[in-house]
Amino acid sequence: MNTDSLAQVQRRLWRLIAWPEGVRAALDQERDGEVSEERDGERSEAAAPLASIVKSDARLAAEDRLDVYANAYFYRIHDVLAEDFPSLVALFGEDGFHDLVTSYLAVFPSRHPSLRHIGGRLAEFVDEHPAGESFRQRFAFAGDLARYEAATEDVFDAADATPATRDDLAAVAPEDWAGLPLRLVPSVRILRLGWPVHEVRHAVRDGQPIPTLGDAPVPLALCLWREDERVVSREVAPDECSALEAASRGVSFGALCEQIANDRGENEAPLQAAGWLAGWIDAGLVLALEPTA
Amino acid sequence: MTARARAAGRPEEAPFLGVGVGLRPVHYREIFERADAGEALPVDFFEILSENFMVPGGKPLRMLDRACSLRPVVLHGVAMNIGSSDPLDDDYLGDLDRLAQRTQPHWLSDHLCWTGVDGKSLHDLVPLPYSEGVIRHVADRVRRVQDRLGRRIALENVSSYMSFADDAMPEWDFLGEIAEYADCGILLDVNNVFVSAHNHGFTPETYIDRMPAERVFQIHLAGHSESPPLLIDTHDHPVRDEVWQLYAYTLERLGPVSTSIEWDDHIPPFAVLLEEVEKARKIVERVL
Ligand SMILES: [Fe+2]
Repeated sequence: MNTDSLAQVQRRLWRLIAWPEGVRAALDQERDGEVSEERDGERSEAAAPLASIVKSDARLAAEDRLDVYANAYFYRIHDVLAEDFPSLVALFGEDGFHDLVTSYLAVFPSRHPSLRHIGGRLAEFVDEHPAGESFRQRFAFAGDLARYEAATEDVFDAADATPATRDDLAAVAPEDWAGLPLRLVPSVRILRLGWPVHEVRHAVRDGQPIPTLGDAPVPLALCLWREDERVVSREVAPDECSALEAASRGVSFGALCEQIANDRGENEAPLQAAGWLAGWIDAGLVLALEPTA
Repeated sequence: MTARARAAGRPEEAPFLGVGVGLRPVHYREIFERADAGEALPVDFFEILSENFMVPGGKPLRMLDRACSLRPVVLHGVAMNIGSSDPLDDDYLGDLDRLAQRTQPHWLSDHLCWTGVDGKSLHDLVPLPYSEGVIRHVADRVRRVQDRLGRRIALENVSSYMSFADDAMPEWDFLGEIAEYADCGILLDVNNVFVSAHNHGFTPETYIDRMPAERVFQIHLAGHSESPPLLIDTHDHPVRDEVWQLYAYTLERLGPVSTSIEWDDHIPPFAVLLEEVEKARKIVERVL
């Protein structure tokens, strides 16, 4: 067996193991010839009988042996997703979540060696993918909830960094203020959402009934970050959200003032910017300040 | 120690560390409280699941550093995908190398299997066809991984539930030949030998007899469960009596080998894990 024939065997097994309806359904599909349009336009040969690849014996048929892998594949990923997205489980119920995972994996199989990233496209699937339609129809905010829970996971083990303090701020010479580059610590995530889905997550965490959120979105922004080892979040007003987004892109304090001046006028802008900056510093959102040389 | 075991050379970079456990987050509190209180921590080393710590920062890495300060560590991965027809994953190997720099493990291990193809992962340890061609394919990749990491790695035998119709040799020869061609170590999972022996109908002692002592870096022990007619490697039970017996048989042949207990599902309090450690220690003492 050379690398090419090994690849063929592995592709076939991958497909049989990951097939959403199980190994036997995947084999039926092969027999019906519906798989002939393999990826890269490469036609799969008329599939050899499974027993010519995987050993069957008196105790157990090849299909059943592969089924062990198929079940393990699904449930291992299901369990990780259930842990990462507890509110989605509560929202859809066990059966609904099972269906969600099945549909999601059929469209977005894992493309990363670690399971840490397994839910990375769940929000996109629920919000945008045709196969996610029934899920967003059931709960219009499900995609936002998925986005929020994925961000929570991300924040939890984001890179560490030393945040700036008020003393650092006080040490900045007046002539350096305009050029002062702002940067946020790596754990900060800013989410623009249509529903206050953090209330759903908190209710689920506290064992409370899930709040009813309407079908029509009402825009809001959340800022998530890590405080000690806990993930915390707070709602931010639209103008502060824009300012935070600018800071996360690394603009200078002067540029931030100009952005704010567009809304609030030249006079109010520096004061507003300094006020927000002080708040961000107190929350530990700002990276240690380094005046440009 | 039997004369035979004494005669069998042990791999230089894999000294006998004693009996350790797989480090799991549910035990952080118990482990670190014991350490803080100056209580005994009768565990000789921690086995770290590499992928759990391939993260940018936060609590996982802080806990990791703490564990590394308490005991020697070895790294154990599940995602190297060494048997795949895909190219080796450079990003993954880079992450693994960084983790090794951070933790300074005695050695690193992963599984003799494939976990995905075409960049898509099954996150499972799927067996390989046992053929000369696959031996060359895998051994060549192991060599490249060892060059990349600047050290030998150990490959673990997996529990399997299927085998290939045209397997040209038994699993022990497949593993032994790859280790020989790649000049790598072996992580001998005694429970996996037992489980696969049951599932494929071979004698587990034969497997053990054929292991090259000079390549065995480490032994794994774990619990399995029954799903007739198969045994499944679930890591959710205490080690079974038959597996303890096979472990004793293994040590009589190999002499003392660093041994760790794996428990990944329905994880019990740390004290229960320590009972398993103690059992293993008793068996080790017989061959010391
Ligand atoms: Fe193992």
